[in-house]
Amino acid sequence: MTIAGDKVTYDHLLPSETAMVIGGGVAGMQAALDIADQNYRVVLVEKSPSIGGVMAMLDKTFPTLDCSACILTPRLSEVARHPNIELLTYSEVVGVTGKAGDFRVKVLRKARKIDEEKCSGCGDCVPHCPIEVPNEFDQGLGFRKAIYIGFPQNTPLVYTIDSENCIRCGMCEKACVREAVMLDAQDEEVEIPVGAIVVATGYELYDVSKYPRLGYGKYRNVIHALEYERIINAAGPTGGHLMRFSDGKIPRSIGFVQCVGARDLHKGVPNCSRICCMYSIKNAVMAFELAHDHVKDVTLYYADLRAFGKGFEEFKEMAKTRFGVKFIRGRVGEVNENPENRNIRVRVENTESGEFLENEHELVVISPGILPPRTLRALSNQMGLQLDSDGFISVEHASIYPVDTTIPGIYVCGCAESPKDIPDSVAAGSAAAMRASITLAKGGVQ
Amino acid sequence: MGQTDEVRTQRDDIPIRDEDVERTFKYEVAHQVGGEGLLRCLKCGACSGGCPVGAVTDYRPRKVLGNVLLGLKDLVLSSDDIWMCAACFTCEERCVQEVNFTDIVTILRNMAVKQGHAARGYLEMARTVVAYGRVVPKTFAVDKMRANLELPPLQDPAMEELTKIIQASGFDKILALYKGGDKTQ
Ligand SMILES: Cc1cc2nc3c(=O)[nH]c(=O)nc-3n(C[C@H](O)[C@H](O)[C@H](O)COP(=O)(O)OP(=O)(O)OC[C@H]3O[C@@H](n4cnc5c(N)ncnc54)[C@H](O)[C@@H]3O)c2cc1C
Ligand code: SF4
Ligand code: SF4
Ligand code: SF4
Ligand code: SF4
Repeated sequence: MTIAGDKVTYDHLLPSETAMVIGGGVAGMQAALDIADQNYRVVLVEKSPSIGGVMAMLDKTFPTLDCSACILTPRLSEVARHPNIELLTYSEVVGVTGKAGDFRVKVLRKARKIDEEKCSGCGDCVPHCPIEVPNEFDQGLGFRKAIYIGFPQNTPLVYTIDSENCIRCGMCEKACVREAVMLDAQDEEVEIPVGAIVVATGYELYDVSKYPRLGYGKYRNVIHALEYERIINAAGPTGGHLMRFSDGKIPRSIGFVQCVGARDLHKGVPNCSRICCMYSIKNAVMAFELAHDHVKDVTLYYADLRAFGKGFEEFKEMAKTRFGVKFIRGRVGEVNENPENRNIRVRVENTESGEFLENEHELVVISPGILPPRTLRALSNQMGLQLDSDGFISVEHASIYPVDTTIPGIYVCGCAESPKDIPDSVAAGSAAAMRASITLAKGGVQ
Repeated sequence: MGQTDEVRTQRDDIPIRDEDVERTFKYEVAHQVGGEGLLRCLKCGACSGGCPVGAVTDYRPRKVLGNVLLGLKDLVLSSDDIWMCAACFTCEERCVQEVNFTDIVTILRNMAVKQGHAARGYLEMARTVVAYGRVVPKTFAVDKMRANLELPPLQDPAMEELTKIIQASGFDKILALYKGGDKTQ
């Protein structure tokens, strides 16, 4: 146990017995658990206040329609409680030196201004904080205080003070009976010796406002898929009530627009994002599941439907035949708003019939492609990692070394390497864990 | 059903016969300046979905490209479709594969003209250029409008240079193929 204010050191960790995982999404969590279960130590570095990544934001998962939180939450606590895993959330890697078997990693522990040992996650401080800002976890649709957790399962269950918006009024400090608030805490840099590193930094969404013709940011009833996930999520900003934002009504007709910020040479994103076809079919089905009395029409506009995985094609057929989701092959040309009712008119050619359609929907959901996180370039420069032309991390050989980066002792998994769904991200997490533990077992010799 | 490739069927059920397919047509187009993007076309329809002409007619740029890629040379070059494009460049701006359809339609028009399929309106325009040096002849009404807008009067076109260019480019020879609206030879 550390006392507040004490400088934390990591000298007790031996590089020959310790691995670092960077990024605490579902891929990084899997890697951390699989290394830790082999009795090595793991330091898991996550830049946001909680582990869980994007999966924690999702409502259901394709193709089984399992509840995302129901699968993920037990894993979150498993990671948090594992005796061999040291969780460094709200932290970032700022420098890496050394070589396989003996790296030194500099980690910046951003001041969360809450003593992690003392905070019990009771939330008594929250009502006292006068500052309210949009919650990033809800894609900015809901609100949080300056002292906050993004979502109820925040792991570790410790609050964070966001220094950018905090006005240092001290109200939270007075409210906290456990004296966990440390308004004067400063960022701290620590050096950690590790023998192997797994990069699992995931992805971010393409900024769909870069397609002015699709109306995102201009028309209130055009939203993107992750916003939709938050709206239909029971823990989300609307309490799981499917609605549109112009008037709070349940949309009777919804259009999903595929391949936005993906497979577009003109925008510099030629690759297919792999997951958007499937997550949109899932979300189309969920509209019927959640509001079957209201939702009459759900139409998905696609360029090609890529239902490549186990059970995916069957899922698509079920969406079509059992739920009545309409599939129209045609990349949407443009949308505009009907000024009378703020419905969205979608202009598209049905390329199978040659018909030019102008379909009116009460809500339009854009499916953004996925991009490497903006910070990935800086991180990979620190480690000397190569990036592919699409900006994701290069691997030694796509077929036979799919999780080995070009630097010995550093491995990659999940969407940090390329767009992947959850099963593939988890499989890659396990693979990277195995490669990393081999490096540890051999003392860095490949 | 037997496995024969005698009759292939397009989506809208127009039978395509082998003798109508000119396999190399797409390369003929792609190898001309501006046609380089043709082979990248996915036939996704983003061009048709934003085309202002398509919004009010049954013209679909995607369909023209599809027919070119299929090799239906005669069908494409003799069709009215290639003359429908208003050259607004919307599709070119939006195409996800950088196909540059507006440039391709120009290539197709040039090929069509040589085969005697020039659209009547374009032919008239070409003849006006040869005769008066302008697409729209200078008239009294135009002069008056310009004067009202305090614009300087139009200059006379440099007919001598223009005629040289027309001859050097073979423009006159192409026009000579036509009598009225039809090809003579
Ligand atoms: C709308 C939508 C719906 C989806 N639905 C499904 C579905 O139904 N089924 C399915 O299988 N898949 C679905 N997916 C895909 C799924 O989200 C991904 O497969 C999965 O999240 C990938 O996990 P990951 O760990 O690789 O990345 P992420 O979930 O992105 O996690 C990466 C983590 O790394 C952290 N990080 C990033 N950079 C750094 C850094 N420099 N230092 C430290 N930490 C860092 C991030 O904060 C994050 O916590 C969906 C995706 C979207 C967008
Ligand atoms: S000190 Fe900051 S976090 Fe605490 S109550 Fe005041 S504004 Fe909120
Ligand atoms: S997964 Fe589907 S929507 Fe996404 S980029 Fe690929 S084809 Fe387009
Ligand atoms: S020209 Fe471009 S926009 Fe049109 S169908 Fe081909 S790829 Fe799509
Ligand atoms: S350039 Fe021609 S084909 Fe393209 S959108 Fe404009 S009118 Fe339509």
